[in-house]
Amino acid sequence: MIRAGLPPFFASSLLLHAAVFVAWPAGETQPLAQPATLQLTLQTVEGKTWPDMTAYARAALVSSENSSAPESAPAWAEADSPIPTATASETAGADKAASDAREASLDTNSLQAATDSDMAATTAVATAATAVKDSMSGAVMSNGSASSSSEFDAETVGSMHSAATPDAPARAEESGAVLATVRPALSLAFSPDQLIQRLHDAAATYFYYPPLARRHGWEGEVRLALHVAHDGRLSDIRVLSSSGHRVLDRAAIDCLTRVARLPDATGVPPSGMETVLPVVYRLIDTPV
Amino acid sequence: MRSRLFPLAGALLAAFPVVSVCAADERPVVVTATRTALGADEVLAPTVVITRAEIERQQGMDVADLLRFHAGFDIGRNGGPGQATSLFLRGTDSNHALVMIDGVRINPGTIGGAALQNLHPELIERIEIVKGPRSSLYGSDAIGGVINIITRRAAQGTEADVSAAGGSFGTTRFTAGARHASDGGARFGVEASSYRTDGFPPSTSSDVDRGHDNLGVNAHVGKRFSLFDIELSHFQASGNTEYLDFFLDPLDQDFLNSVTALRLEAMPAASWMTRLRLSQAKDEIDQNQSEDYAHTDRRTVDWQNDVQIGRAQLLTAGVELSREETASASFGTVFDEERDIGAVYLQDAIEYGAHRGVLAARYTDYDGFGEQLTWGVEYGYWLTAATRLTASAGTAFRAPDQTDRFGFGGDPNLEPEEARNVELGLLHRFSSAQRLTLQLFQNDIDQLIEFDFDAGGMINVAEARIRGAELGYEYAAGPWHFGAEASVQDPVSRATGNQLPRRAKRSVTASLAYAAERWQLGADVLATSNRRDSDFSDVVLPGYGLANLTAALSLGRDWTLRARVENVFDKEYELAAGFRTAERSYLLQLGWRYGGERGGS
Repeated sequence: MIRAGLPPFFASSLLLHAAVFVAWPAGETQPLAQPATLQLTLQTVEGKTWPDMTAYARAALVSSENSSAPESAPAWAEADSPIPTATASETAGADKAASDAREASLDTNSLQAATDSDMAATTAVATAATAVKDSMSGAVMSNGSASSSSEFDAETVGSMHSAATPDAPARAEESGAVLATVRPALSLAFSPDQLIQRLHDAAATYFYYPPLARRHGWEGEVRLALHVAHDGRLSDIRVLSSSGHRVLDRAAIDCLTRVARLPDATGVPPSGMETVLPVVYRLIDTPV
Repeated sequence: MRSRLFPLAGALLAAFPVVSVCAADERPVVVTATRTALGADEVLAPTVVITRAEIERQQGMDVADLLRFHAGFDIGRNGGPGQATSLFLRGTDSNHALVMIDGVRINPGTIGGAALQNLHPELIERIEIVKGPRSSLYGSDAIGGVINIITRRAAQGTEADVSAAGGSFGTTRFTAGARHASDGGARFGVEASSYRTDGFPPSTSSDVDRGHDNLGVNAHVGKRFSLFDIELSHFQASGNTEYLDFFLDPLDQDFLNSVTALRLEAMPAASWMTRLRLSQAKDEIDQNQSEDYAHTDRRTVDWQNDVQIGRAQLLTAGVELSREETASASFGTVFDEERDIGAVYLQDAIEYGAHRGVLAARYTDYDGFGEQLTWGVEYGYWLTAATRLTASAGTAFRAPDQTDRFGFGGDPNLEPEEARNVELGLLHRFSSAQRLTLQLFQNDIDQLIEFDFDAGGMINVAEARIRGAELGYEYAAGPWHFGAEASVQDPVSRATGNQLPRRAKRSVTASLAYAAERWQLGADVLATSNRRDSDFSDVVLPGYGLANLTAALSLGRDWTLRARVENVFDKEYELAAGFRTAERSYLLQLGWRYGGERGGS
């Protein structure tokens, strides 16, 4: 009968299709230039602000994976990055300088806890004067370099996040400050665990499973980056890595936006801090 | 857009540990929800889900064999493997359950219900059943419920498996499958399963074995592009079934059940999902000792849209166009008919605080008998975080099949059978590990089509009312899984007051499984009360109990040995008067698996 020939026919036909489909190029390929620019930005900040060679190496590694640019990176950095100057510390308010200094001295108290790479940083801020100078220079330098990063941000990730787009320069200033100050804060005193826990507690009431994703069985992990200000306000919420489903990404941002502010922000440094919150959307099979 | 963002996000991700405080301690927020059955929002309706793990554990012969271990699923079977099998879901008729493969209707347009006896579990990923009327979404036949059979699909990475099994009645079963999904969204998979059995004599008055050969093939290939996702898939079961006719003469027939589908999915906006599916479903039986046959060939275009409005509302709108070609020759009555079916449907699922609501309506137009409007309303209220109450009402219908209209005694002017169902439900979670469900329902079905001897043909004459209560309990914790279901129902013909044939008033099922690291043991039992055999006789099929045992042993990393004992107590019982069922029987399977989940569980 004809039917006897059907299974082999379908099997071979589908295998052929499979071969063609798998061999097909994957969508549009992304331009190399943009990520390369981003890498350079971070590299510059890291390389100049804190003498953390591990971080520098890591950034270099990333950029070498993504583009052919790493060779030119140091050159670009040399040419463009401002050297810490007195002007920088003058532009900063006296209060801020003082608080930064306080924090820096606090940091030295728990030096033991610092890791090797952090130790260099902490040593660098051991005296109040140096600390102020360094952190300010970090801020200044980041302003310069991060603005290119945030433009890039707004252009590519902008469509995905709500808070980012309005004023790129302002945001750049903010994130620049973070880049500069986060390190001393991180190694010492305030535990990131506490912050994460507070985020979890605050988020618990807001997170929901988007009905569309639920219906179609979509799951995934979206990693959000956000800025926590000194007063607990959350801003600059953006997608670091997508879950693969826009509706999940958007729901995660939406929920964190609704959290708006952490009720308890003690320990958050004056300039705020940057953190990452992964959100996992998972469907349970057995409805027990 | 997505493919452009991904590498960027990756770059950010890799770069961020440098500046981020919390990179080392990223405890995720985990947001969970219960997976909804059927890809539509049946959150409030009673559902049964049979997972792949459960399918592998049970080693059932066919889909009916898996369904029967849930209360309220009565099976009628004219003998052993491959023999004509009917499912009576919640006391409704055997053609009142809509069966789909990957969302494509497979019920024949010629006569009767879907060929569950031809669908073997090896190619199946999971089975989702929603009880109660679903015609407001799916159209004809969805009176007692909807069964969606989801075939296997590639998960991330590469998987392959091979198995060989042998057992009683000269049964052998070989399966092989390979699946691959790449990060780029390309995927494919092929599975094949060959089942052969000498079977046993179907009739209690015959000693002639009747065998069944079944080759199952499931294949799919798909790719996700930046703007859309495309998938081509094909499922088929084909082979030969030997049987005995009314005079116990040995005959055999060839069968083919297949679904071919091309599916395109796209997200025009972040909260709008649109899907276009072109499908073809075939159900064919050809007799080898006569010229008789029954063929259904249904081609469907289905365009469905899901739009999430805000965070709490999901709107579904769709259009479905089918052309159904049916041809049959049966004992001298021949027909070759074609009919077009068009439908539009709309559903809104709403969540508001502790309230849940679903409103649905569907307008179906048959070029044969006219039009049918069906609707459904469901409401759920979370009394506490652990307790939910539901109330629902809905209508459903079954369009007369082409045998009703053009077969022996057929009448082209028959009206559809119509059902109205009202239902109350309770769900309670004692803990994260225990769940209790209770459903009370009343389903009134009018204009049931029957052969009337006085009229000398088919007429819309009968009425049935089925009142029932279903109780379910499920416990899952650590290595243990326990489930129990009980159903009490009163399926009666309102014309005669008789119990509807082959439907039990009471049934109980239970399953217990223990999964250790290297081995697994399971038991499935069912007990059911007596059933009338048919409307035309006073024969009563006595109640019976059945117990199956299953075991699995992991032999190293990739190998698993599985065993199944069916009918442990060697109970003699009948699912149809005069037809045998399997005595105590055994099946032993050795399987090899690469990738995916490993081990005996």
